[in-house]
Amino acid sequence: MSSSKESLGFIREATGLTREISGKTALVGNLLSMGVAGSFFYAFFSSLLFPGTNLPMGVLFAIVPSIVVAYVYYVLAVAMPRTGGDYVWISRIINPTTGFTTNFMITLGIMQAFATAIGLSVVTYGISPMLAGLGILYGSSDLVNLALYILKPMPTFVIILVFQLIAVAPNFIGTKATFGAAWVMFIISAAGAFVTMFAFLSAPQAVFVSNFNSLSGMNYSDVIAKAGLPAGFSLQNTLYGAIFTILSYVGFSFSSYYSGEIKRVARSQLVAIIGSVLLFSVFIGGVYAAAYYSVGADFLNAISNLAGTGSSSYALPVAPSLNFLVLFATPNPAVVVLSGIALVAMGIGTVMVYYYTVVRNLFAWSFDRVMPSWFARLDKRGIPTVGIAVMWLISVFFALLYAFTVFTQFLLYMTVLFTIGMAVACLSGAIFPYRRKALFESSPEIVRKKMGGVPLITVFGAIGFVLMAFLSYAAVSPAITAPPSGPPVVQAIIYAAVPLTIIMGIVIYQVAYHYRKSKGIDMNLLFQEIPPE
Amino acid sequence: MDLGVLLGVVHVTTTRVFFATDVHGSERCFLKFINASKFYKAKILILGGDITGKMVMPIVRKKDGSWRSQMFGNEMVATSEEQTLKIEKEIRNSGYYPFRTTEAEMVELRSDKAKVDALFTRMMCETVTRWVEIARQRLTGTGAVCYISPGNDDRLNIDQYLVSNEVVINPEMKVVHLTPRHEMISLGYTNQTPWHSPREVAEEKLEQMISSLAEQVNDMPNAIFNLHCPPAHTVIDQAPKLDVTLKPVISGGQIEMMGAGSNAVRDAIEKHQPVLGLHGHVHESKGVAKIGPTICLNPGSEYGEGILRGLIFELEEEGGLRNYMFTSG
Repeated sequence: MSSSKESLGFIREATGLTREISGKTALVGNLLSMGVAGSFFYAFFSSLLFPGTNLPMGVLFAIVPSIVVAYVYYVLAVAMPRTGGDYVWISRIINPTTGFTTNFMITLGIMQAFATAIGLSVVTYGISPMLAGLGILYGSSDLVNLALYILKPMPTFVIILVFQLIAVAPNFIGTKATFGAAWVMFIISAAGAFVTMFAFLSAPQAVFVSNFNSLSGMNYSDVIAKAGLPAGFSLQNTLYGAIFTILSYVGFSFSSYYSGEIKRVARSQLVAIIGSVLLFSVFIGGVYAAAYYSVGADFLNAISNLAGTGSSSYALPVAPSLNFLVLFATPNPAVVVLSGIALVAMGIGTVMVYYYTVVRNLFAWSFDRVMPSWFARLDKRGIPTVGIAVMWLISVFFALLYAFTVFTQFLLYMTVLFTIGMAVACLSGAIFPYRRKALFESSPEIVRKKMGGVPLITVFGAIGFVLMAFLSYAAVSPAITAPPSGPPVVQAIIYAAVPLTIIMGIVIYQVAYHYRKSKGIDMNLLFQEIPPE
Repeated sequence: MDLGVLLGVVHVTTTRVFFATDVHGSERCFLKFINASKFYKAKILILGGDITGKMVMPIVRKKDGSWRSQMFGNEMVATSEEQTLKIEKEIRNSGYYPFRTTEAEMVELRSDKAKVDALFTRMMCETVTRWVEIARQRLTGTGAVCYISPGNDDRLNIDQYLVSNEVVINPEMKVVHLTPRHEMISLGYTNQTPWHSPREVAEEKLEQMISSLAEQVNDMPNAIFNLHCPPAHTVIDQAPKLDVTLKPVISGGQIEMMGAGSNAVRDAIEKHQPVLGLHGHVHESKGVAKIGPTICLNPGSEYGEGILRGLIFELEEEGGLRNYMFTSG
């Protein structure tokens, strides 16, 4: 028997009463799940697509929507701590069709990332630049040719397959193996990212210019001149360029899925979620600022433009991602390798967790009778072998698409599925106090905070919805990003991918609904609140 | 048969049942449970174990005549009887026991564990008595029947108050007929936990208790095992692993989970192969597990948020289980 520190009450010894995870532990977990190394190629994407973008300032812009979304997730997690996340929140607050469709969209987005995360992080921007960098440092044309060779469709496909197998393997062993291995990958990735940042900081621009001129076969000043871009920064393009930075913040909410039985103010969770967004901003902003210090913003914009537009003036073997450019800051093979490994490790770790996440989503759909029960079948060791194997086969399909077709353009369009998902989660947060009044009124004080009489979750949810809806539009608007290339039928498919995914989700749910209805079960009852009076 | 039903050629008579568990003193959840009969059109309600609360929340009379309490970091003040009743209701809805007291008594209670213990017992028994009466009032005349059994966290003192009447039945350690074809055995005891709860025993003893109940079942393929403890080595027994201070263990950035279920329960299900297993105890482990032909279900619990997690299932008149669906009311 004890008394609660946060109330006058007396608590008795009873099953399930545990101590809360410390804020520090949760903060570290969140931070390591957010991929700093992704900034290496996001810098190239942003600079190419939005010339004049100011990457460090873009981080400041990215903080705002990220904090807003993080706050919404935090409050919903405190209000409903054991639900397992946005699938149930949205189903409960809006309706089950929207909840399933949103989760389906995000799951499909994750599935295509089985290939693109490895394709980009491991092959295109990981191993290839590493080999090219070593080739330049050692004067080895063989290494440079190898760097180019692996970018061809078949080698890309084979490498993706190999790393998909590496990523999926721990899932067949169990949850502890999966997260243990992913944790190691994330630590390696973070270490490599810090090495890269310090490598840039140790090389003032004059050093970078000298090394670039002597090693690259190009001239620093000529690069800027030939690109012909206006010098300085554009506020508009900085805003648009922040889109990619925002995508790096995924992972801030890992700690939101657990809370103690006796409801506490959960300050430690607030520290973890909001703290991880702020600290991550410092890290990623640090990488960008370090790169600008050494490489120079105008040069980065210019060289990205020359590389991305296929200019004949571009003489480097691979794209100018930061982990490739670092070799001109610090011509040290160890730095080149560690920088490349940072991305490789991030890709593997991310996909390891993605396989687990998708299978867990399948379980949830199966328990809610939206999908067949065999999706949740376990083998004798308690591992969902069938589900994992099906996911691996799907990932092979996406690997084929990535390697042999132009559907890599899916990346930008499929990221819309994530931003739409977050927009819907924010919307559910905004209307939560009104749709689930009783739950809201019985939640801890941090959930019920108001500003001018309006619940803070409503304010933040509404802002988050508008921001994420705008980002979703910006991510696919031809006025902002490059339209898809290829034959008209390919363009049509790419444009249709997102609305088709949404329609698929709605159709799947409706088919399941009517099938279960014929068996006497009304799935609308799944999340409807029973009146207590 | 499904096609025939779909075509309207074959008519299947079923009995709809609603199962929930681990309400832990939440009056909001209990009231929802009783109303589930009307809401889900269920003729039978089953409340699995762990029905008593974990916290007594004092409402202290102050010198100025007001009543004050504190919950979730929020101070609640009442200056009238109506306001005080409202605070009591809010406390009950969260699964706690409201207790009107004075500052002097609070000082006494803080230094006397035995008195607090006695207070808990009194609150539990009073609440169980009130709940049984609420169930009787709301269900009488509706045709619905409600089974309420204790779980490992429920003190033995409440058993004498969990009395059966025309609509409320305590099935603990008995065999009851849900339908003419479906018998149900119920056991709230579990294997041992780190919290030394009132109804936990060693696996060997649990095995004996289940066996003695199973022996009394006549039609095992249509039997239902309402065993509070989930079977071991399944998705429905996964609880956070705890260190010696009862803090969750983090491994690889994730909360490490471990099986908290019972081998005795699993062995009994494997041996007897009833049609259905109904379980609770592990709030985080909502899910389905199949052990041979037996479907084992745990709807989980979110009693603290006033959300009634449950399960609707339909028993066919000729025997067998027709369908099931998790709910979150």
